[in-house]
Amino acid sequence: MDRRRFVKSASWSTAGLLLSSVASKGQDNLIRPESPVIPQTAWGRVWIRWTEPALPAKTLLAHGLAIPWGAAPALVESARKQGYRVYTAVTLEQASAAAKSSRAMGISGIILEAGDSEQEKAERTVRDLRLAHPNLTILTPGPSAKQPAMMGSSVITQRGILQVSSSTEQPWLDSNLALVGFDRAFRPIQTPLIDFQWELSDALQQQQGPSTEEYLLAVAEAGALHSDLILNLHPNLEKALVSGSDEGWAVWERVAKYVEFYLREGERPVAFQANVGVVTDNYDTSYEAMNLMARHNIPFRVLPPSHLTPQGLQGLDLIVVFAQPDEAAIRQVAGFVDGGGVAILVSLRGSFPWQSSGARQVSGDSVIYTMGKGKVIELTEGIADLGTFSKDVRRLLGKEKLTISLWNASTIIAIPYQFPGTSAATVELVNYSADPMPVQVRIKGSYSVVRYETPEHGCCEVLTPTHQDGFTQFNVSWLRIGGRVHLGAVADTQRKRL
Amino acid sequence: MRWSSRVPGGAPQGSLLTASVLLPDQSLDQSLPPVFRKHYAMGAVFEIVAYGTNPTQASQAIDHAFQEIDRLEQVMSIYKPASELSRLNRTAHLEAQTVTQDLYQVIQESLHYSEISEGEFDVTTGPLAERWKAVGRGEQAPSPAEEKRLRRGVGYRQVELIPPGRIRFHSSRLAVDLGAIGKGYAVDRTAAVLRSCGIECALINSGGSTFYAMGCPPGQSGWLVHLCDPSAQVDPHVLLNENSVSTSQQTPPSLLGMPSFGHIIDTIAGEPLKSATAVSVVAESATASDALSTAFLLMGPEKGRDLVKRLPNVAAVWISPEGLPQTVTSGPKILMTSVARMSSQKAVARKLD
Repeated sequence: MDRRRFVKSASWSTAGLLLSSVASKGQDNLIRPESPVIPQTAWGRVWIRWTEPALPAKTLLAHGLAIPWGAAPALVESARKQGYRVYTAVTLEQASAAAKSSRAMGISGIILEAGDSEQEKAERTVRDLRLAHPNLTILTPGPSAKQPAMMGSSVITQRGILQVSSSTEQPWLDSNLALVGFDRAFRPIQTPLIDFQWELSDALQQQQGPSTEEYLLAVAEAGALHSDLILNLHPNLEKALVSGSDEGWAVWERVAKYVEFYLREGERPVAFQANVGVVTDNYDTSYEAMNLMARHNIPFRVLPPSHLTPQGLQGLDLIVVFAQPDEAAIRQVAGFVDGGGVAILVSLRGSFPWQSSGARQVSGDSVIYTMGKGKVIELTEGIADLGTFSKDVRRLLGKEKLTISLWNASTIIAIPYQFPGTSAATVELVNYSADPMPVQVRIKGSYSVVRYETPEHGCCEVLTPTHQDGFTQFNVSWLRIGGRVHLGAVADTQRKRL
Repeated sequence: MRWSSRVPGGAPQGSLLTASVLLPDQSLDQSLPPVFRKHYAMGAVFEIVAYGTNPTQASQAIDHAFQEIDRLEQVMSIYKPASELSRLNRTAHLEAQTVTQDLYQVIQESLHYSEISEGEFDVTTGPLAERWKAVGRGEQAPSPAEEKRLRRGVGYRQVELIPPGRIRFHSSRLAVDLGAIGKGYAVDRTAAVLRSCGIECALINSGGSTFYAMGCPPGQSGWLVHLCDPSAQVDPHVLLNENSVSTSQQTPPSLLGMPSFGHIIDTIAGEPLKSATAVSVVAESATASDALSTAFLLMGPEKGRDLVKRLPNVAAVWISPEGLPQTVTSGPKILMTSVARMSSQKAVARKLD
């Protein structure tokens, strides 16, 4: 029994509906074909949500401050004088007034905070504001972001802690990788912006606030996903920073190291390395599978159904289809499979060409059709067990097509990127358990130079790679929360510093 | 400020209980909030909910408990080459090795459960399990000759305990893997550490498969733990108080039609167990419940029933995907709820969230 699915599903449904409606209304200005190169100019920016009436004397390292609309003008002025870009956080109702006053108040932009159920209205509001105020930066956090965390099997409810026994489960990781992938596919004009509420598990934590490691994980995850972050500081930490408390500043200095670590990388164009596609127009129905694939280090990119084209499918070896395909899309899926791809169709109804022409094998709830060089697997009853599904996807890809593999690392997510036009790559590593551990990595490609850096130890430790069958393998000796591996050939190193 | 203000209040949903078998604990201040922490170790997440005289005391006690788990991982892990068990596996066939009290005790208990289960529970099946894991990754299944050779290296009787603290292996192929008992032992040690820190009321959860309850939450008669139910029809649950429950189930088969080999090895057949049944066992210690859940999964309800009756304060339930629970007990109660009642519980839980 998966209580987590049971508990969480209600909050995702609206986001799914919204995105579904965005796609179905054909708002092409919001949906661009997925490019192999991530179309953004900057990432790793952190806005600090500031709620105290005064600021610390010393400036915090951050891209900007997110100050609630209606805060004292003196606070905004004081923030600007300290060199901050000030963004005002507004509700839908406040957005228009805030946009009109922004220039006079010296505000750099607005952050529009809409609930999951208001997303459609929020999109309209953003469109209207951008037309009326073309020079004003308007940021919209993705809906349904969550605190990145390693989860156990206990579920904390409003009334207590729900315990359900099972065979031993590996850690469940709540990551924002699925959200960022979805955002990137459906809102490519903005770098994904993560804004979440802390889930503080007990009264003591609610009183004390998140641990330093939880702040670090939030920054590391957003940076590793090449996203931006609005970081909510606990009132105690804000007060400690304002009062100049040594303890508060010790926490912040560790956080600032992480902010700086990701910010300085955030200008280079990169391509996300993924050979699995998730075809979906509904976040709600596809979220859990994406989250589990992320947890099992299966890099994927999200494809809106309209991107089921030869260009959209380029570079993919396997697709998981959640969206009901139309006739053109069915033809594309058939062509993809014929050419050697694997397509997994989840709870889709209809008659498809492979059903009449392919060899058929029934196994449990799945029906497998062999067609051309590839195969189609229809999961008629949905995905019964997400962990098993993700492991199956890795096995289906086979050793030779797995982009990346980690050992002794069930709390670590690795995100591989390539630098277009070079043979260089990076791998961002995020450890959700925050307990330092070694990691053994195997990545597709032959790289002769492997260097490793962390916010704690700086750049760079030279690692010794080994090579086998077109893969590079190396050992990272220590990863606490965030780390980055630079991969290249000797020629790359000579051409430019990685 | 965007804050989540979840307020846990001890064990969940008293309204979900169908029966109460223990008296409420009146000794704890009912207004005291519990402290909840989690920690990754031994390939799983350990979670502890604890009530102390104040939250800070509980939090510090949990920190000590997690340190103990980390220490035991260095003793019992087979994935850490420098662990005490890894060293033992490398050298104990050459000559008897002196080991720490922890390793001696957990292996001693393992052999006890091997004896009483007539070899169904066996911590020496590691080499077979590894071989079948490789088959799952695409390697060929072992030939009869290879299987015979592998099985010759397996057998708890080839482990010799030499009191007070030495161990010798009588096979060079032997390797002890404590995966089916080690977390339970760690949970028992964790409870001891919490007690030494003054904690009397806590629930320790190791990876969802083993729970140990110390006392019970304020105003409650026990810690409620729902048990794994592959049928989704009977919602078995237990109220724990100074005892433990563990669940074992074979790794589920592939959803996509690929050959699958689970992690639990049938020592008699020499290959992965083919069963979708889940077994939960209540016992006085987590070491016992952890070991017995694996043993009873392998033994099945017929043989398992006899063993339960010979053991004090043990209960077991076998639940198949078809939803026919078979329960046997020498003391503790395992409660069931009908399908209809379960649906209404889910509705309640949904409202709560």
